Amino acid sequence: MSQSLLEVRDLAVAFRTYIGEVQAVRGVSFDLNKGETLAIVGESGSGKSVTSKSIMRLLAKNAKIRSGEIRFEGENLAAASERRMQSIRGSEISMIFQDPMTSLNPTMTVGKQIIEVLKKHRKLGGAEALAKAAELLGLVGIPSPEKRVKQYPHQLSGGMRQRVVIAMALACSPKILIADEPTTALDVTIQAQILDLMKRIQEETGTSIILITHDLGVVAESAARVAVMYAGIIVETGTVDELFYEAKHPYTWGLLASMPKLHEKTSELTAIPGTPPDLMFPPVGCPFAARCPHAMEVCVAKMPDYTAHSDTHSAACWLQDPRAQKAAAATGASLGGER
Amino acid sequence: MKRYIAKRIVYLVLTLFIITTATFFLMKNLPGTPFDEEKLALLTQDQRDQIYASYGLDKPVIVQYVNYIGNIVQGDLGTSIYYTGQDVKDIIVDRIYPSALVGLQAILLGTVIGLILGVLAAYRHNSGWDYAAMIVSVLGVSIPNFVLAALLQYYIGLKWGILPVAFWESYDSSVLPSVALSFGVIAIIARFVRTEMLEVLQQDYIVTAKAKGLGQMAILSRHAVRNSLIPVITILGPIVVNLLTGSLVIENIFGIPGIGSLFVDSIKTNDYATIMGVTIFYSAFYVVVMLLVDILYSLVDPRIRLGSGRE
Repeated sequence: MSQSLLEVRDLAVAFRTYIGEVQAVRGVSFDLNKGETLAIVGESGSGKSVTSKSIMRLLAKNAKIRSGEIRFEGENLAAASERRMQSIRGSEISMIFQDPMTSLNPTMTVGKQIIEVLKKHRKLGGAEALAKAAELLGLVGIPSPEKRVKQYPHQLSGGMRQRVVIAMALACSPKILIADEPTTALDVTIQAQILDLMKRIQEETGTSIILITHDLGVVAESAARVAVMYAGIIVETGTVDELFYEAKHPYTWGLLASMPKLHEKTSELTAIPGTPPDLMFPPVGCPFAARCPHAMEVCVAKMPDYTAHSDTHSAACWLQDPRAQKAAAATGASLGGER
Repeated sequence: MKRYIAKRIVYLVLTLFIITTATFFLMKNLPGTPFDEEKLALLTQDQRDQIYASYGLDKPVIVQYVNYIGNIVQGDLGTSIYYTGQDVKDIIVDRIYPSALVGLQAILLGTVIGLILGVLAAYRHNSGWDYAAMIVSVLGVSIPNFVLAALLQYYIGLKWGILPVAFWESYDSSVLPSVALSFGVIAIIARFVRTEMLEVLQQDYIVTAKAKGLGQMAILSRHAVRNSLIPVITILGPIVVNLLTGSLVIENIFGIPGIGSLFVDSIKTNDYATIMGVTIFYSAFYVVVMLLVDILYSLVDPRIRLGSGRE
């Protein structure tokens, strides 16, 4: 318990819209330990970004944390004042965004944008801050940083800009780095470089990382533990090995199956049939039931509890319920169970 | 940058030359003469020829044109016919001060208030502030400034007697016309800034700024407002020209001896030299302001590099 840097408990977030309330996150719980990388995986709209933004309290105005706690070193961020959040953001917890093309201010030199953080949290000013900004750019692998600090974002390539964003996030050596799809907008070759950079930084600084992604390839490469989100709920969580080799939830199976494989010569991609449920009217039972090839009556009627498979591995699926032991075994073997 | 500005100045001179030429010949096609026809009829042919000759109007139009261009190049705008014997350059200099003072005050007032309203409206989007600012904006656009001028004159000038109703006597005389003119500016700027701000506030880099731990004020002043101002500079160019060169209606209502009324009077009286002088002055002012706007643009937005490609 003392190891946990961040404990999220039963977090629920809803968005008010003109036609109703969207339950984007519906009771999410997870822990983040010191120095580890936790990946949150899921498709668009699964609530993974909303979860990460809730931690930083960066949600849009029409969003509201309905219930739950976000404990950072024991302090509940869900109830913290805006002032307190400002002192945490960029200093204790930092964030890297998806699109480096738009996440930097185009009319400000990258140096100034980094200095802003240093000024705010470290009270550094003038030459000292500029030197530190250049040092940070060097740290994230930008060549001739003294020259680059004086440049504007449009003078840098996409990969370079993402390095700047990372440098900015690292400026105050945060305890947690939240990376929201940090490589999605980048070329594949640059993606690997950025992931390597993040890995190296973690080794050097010991910061914990929450990696939000929909790319299982990225997960395999950089995370230690994974939480799979679907329709605002974590459906399965475990170590990378447990998830890739012993996945228990049919949704995780589907995700794994939909990864394109190089050694198979099929031209068609495997997809999970159907679409996620409408979160304005979330289903009472398991949200995946409608798309699940193994769905049972109970799945539609009642949300399953988490079943633990090891200290680190658990899944929310009726197939894993002790009372459904036989069915699980049967479906596991034949993938054709009806009941 | 330097090469770009040099190039622009060449174009600028060329533009002015074309405007001058076109105006000159169009003006010569105006019906009537600069003189009082009735009084002219009382004179002998000899005397009439003498008057024409003294203004150089006896020569063919093309010769007059060449002479005129020759004079302009030497900085001579000729002498007025209506204001007998006065140098057009002196008349313009005399008349520009009231117009420029009123215009400048209107722009400053309008821009500052417009900016505040626009920023407030965007920042408190869909709130009472927003609606109030937009109502002011719609009123500012739709109420003609002469209606407003009359209201100001009646209440502030006449009823309460705080400021002079009209005429150009002291600095106080410039306040009411400036206020009357500023409403239009407030309306345009507020609307523009609001739209731009709303867009900028949606940008990812605003979230980034927030994620850095910056407070609301820092985000607004350092990131949002500055970036919303870039397009505003574009509309500010024509507004500056319009107001600094005088508003005919406002100058008439308040009895201000400004350049707007000079221009209209010069056309009514066929005062050739004055028409040309004011036209050249207007156009020169316009193109110079436009050049300044473009330069300002590149200073505010580093993505715009004048005249060359990247870096």
